Amino acid sequence: MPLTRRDFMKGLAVFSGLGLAPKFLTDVYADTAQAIQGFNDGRVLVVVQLGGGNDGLNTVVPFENDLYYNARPNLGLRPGRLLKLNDQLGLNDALKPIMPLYDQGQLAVIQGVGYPNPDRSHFRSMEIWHTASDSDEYLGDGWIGRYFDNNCSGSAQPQVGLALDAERPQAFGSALGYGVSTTDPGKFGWNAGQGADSTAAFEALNTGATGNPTLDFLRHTTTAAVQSSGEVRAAAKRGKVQMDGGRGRAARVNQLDTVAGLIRGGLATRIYYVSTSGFDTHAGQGGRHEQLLGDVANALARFQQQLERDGTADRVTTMVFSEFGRRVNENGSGGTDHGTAAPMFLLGRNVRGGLHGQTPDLADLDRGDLKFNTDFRRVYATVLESWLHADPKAVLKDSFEPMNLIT
Amino acid sequence: MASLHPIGPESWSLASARHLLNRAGFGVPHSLAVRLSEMAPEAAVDHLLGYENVPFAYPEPDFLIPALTQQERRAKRRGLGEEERRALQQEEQRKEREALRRLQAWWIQRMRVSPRPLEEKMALFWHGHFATSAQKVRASQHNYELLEVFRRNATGNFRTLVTHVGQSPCMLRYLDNDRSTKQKPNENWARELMELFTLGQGQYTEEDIKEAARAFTGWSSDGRSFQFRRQAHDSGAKTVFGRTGNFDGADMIDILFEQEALAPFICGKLWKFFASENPDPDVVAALASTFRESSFELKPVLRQIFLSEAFHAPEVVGSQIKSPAQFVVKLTHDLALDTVPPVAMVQATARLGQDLLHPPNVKGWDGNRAWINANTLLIRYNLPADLASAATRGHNQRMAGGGDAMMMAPAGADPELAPPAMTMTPAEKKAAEDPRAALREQIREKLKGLPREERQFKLKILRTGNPAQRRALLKELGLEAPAEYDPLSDMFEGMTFTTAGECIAQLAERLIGAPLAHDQRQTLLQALGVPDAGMPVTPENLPDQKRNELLHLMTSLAEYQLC
Repeated sequence: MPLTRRDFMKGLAVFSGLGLAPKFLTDVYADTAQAIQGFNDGRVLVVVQLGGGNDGLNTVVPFENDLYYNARPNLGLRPGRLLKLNDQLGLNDALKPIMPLYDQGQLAVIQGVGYPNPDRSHFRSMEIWHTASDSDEYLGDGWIGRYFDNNCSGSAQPQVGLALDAERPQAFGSALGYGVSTTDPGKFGWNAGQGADSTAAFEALNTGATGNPTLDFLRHTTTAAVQSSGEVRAAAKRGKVQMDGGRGRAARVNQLDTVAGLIRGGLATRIYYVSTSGFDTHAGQGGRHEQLLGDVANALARFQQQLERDGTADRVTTMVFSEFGRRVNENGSGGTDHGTAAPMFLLGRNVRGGLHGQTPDLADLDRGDLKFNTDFRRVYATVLESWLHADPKAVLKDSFEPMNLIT
Repeated sequence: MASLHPIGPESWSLASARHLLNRAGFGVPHSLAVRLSEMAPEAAVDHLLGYENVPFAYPEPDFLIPALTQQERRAKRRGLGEEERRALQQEEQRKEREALRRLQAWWIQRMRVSPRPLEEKMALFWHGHFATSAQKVRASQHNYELLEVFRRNATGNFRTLVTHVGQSPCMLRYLDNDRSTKQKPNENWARELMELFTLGQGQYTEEDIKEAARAFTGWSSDGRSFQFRRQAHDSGAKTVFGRTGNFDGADMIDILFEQEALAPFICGKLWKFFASENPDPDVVAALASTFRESSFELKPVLRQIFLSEAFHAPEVVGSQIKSPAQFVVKLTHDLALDTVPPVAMVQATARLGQDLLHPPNVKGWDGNRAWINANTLLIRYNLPADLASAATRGHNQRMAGGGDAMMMAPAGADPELAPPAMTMTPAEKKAAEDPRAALREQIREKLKGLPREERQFKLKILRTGNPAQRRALLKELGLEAPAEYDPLSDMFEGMTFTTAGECIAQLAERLIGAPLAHDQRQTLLQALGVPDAGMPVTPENLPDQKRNELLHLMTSLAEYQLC
């Protein structure tokens, strides 16, 4: 009977305890605790996108403010349904799974994040977040892509960025073409098809210089793709782990399970990108929004627990964002329309937990929308400078004052 | 120096005709390349350019949602409560999304079947040049109308094209000019018109943009078609490019066409799209003077490009990376995958980075190397198998007389692709949709009486055994494996080869358009499992599986990405 993963790990624990772990096993796991190939540290950033525009006011709730309840007679959340952060603010009860992280100082809630002249189109606003542009500026590349171009050229590994998605996020847009996207890292690669494995033939057909620059570029990219896909697949296999408790409701962001596995598997990836959608709650928001937030919170909590178990938690910081918040006033359909500023989250052992930024002023609105007080690019700048040790100005093309979010 | 001198008949070959067809079209069908190669170069180019003379009846889309004027919209909403309005809006958006999906399918199928390839290639060029996205402009009718503007003026007069684009509700909405008023001029259209559509960056000042925006105020739409709103128009004096007057939008366009930068900007872009990335400045200058002399008619410029020695130079031929649309259209032709549902083709182009009607931004697609990264390249290599299985599904649906005719193929566009008028019983229909289902039923019957362990053992072989084991077991049970539809078999029709070497050579000629390198041929022979190129090919030593593997390897060549 084959050993289950659990049996295998138990066995490994026994071996390690006695100092008897076979060398090939300790090598694999020793690697994962150290630097990522091509970088001088092993730090990882995980970006979680909440697509559709998360209702910030019902995520971080100003329960002492009458203006909030006046604007939201039906959707307003009563203090009894909140996780109190202080005497003014409470987190939506659905975020309970990540409350222990908050209590341990591993969850930073950054309030009122946005940008000047906000665009209420999902597409355009998402583009602004991805490219880190001004709202009247159109950039062809993405902020993460520019980070790759500036800081990862020594790595020569396209998988310095990995998006768990069929399409490459705009944020990965890069002159040098870093970043791979796949929905299933375990299957990312050339599909040899049925029957004999022709992978060797495929590789042989696409190697060697030809003198035709475009052809050589394609062959080079093929080699890199094959190499990175081999590493991605191998890491997925190495890191494959039976998560506790099954997928259940956390299915919404279950790519985070995969990310934990790849980190555990020691993939040379600096930035992981996962996304979920459904936050466009124009109608019937009550209950629905709780479910969305709850799923995300479950997935994040489980992700963090897995990192702790794997001993990789020190290396990983997670950032959660959405393209905009919702209108302050609820609409006639029990929902909220596209709005502006909303909170962001940073999670991880190296995060300075607690509340950051200012609570948006409900008495000072712009045509019924919140005014932002923290430009999202300040958060990017912080993550770039304090976490990834990169020059934020080179990536963001402008100076944004970093915040005190990383210990 | 690269020369715009016309290529002589002595240099004209099947390879040059194929190059011309790749660039002025989608490289298909191969038979057209053969026909072009038998003409003189001028005649071949004129045949492609004079596409108006080639009859083509492609059905108009009948699935578009008619655009309403603002008045009509308001009337439709009158008396509705907020919730009903919201429901109406959601329903309208759902319908528009569906219509847009059909419009994408309609277009890519048109690229596939049109005998007027240059018309579609130019429409695709203009779609990338005057990029608007259905992400913002959701009205299917407006998207279609702009595509028609591109098609009608594809190789006509550029000034006419610019005017019609600027007055199309799609562009008016996309760049917000429909909301531009005397009091609050919106500069979006004026800026992109100069920067991306006519002159290029740095050929104007911020002041020129501001003033041009004033000239275009009043160019608007009533929600259905172009409307000039006199009250919104700023009729005061503007100073733009050093000229002062009470200019309106039409004057503004005339002024742009007086600018030196326009002709080289457009000719450079055409050269990059059709020929190569880094045009020789002298070539661009020469094309620009042709453009000006012909009062901005496009045909003379295109004719000059397509005939030129520079266009046919060895460093230009086979140097371009196929766009996703070209890649997908050509792949379905190359592998004779005639039953791929257009929707699957659209999805494939989107996965490869060219979601039709959804360019990434107003700058359109960068093209060439920007199409390629580790992810998209692997998708390209894996696509033949994906499309072959889509073709099987398409085939089965057609046999069943089912499927959405439009999602399959527009009836009448290609008689071969129209669903046959067949009368089938529901059981036959089901069997055709899923030939394996019927077989599974039969197997269950046959295994019924067997002891449990034996039954499970046999089922396991049927599920996981190799094809030979499965066939043997089916034979033992007195069943015949269903003749499975093999979409790839069609491509071998009409091909004659007797040896492995000939097989590989003919496929290389067909797929790559050039012989393979020696070591590549050797690798392929090895993959075929034959000792040498002279080995005779028979159904025994080239079974379907080997043959498909060979096709997969050959379409997984870096060379196959080029045209």
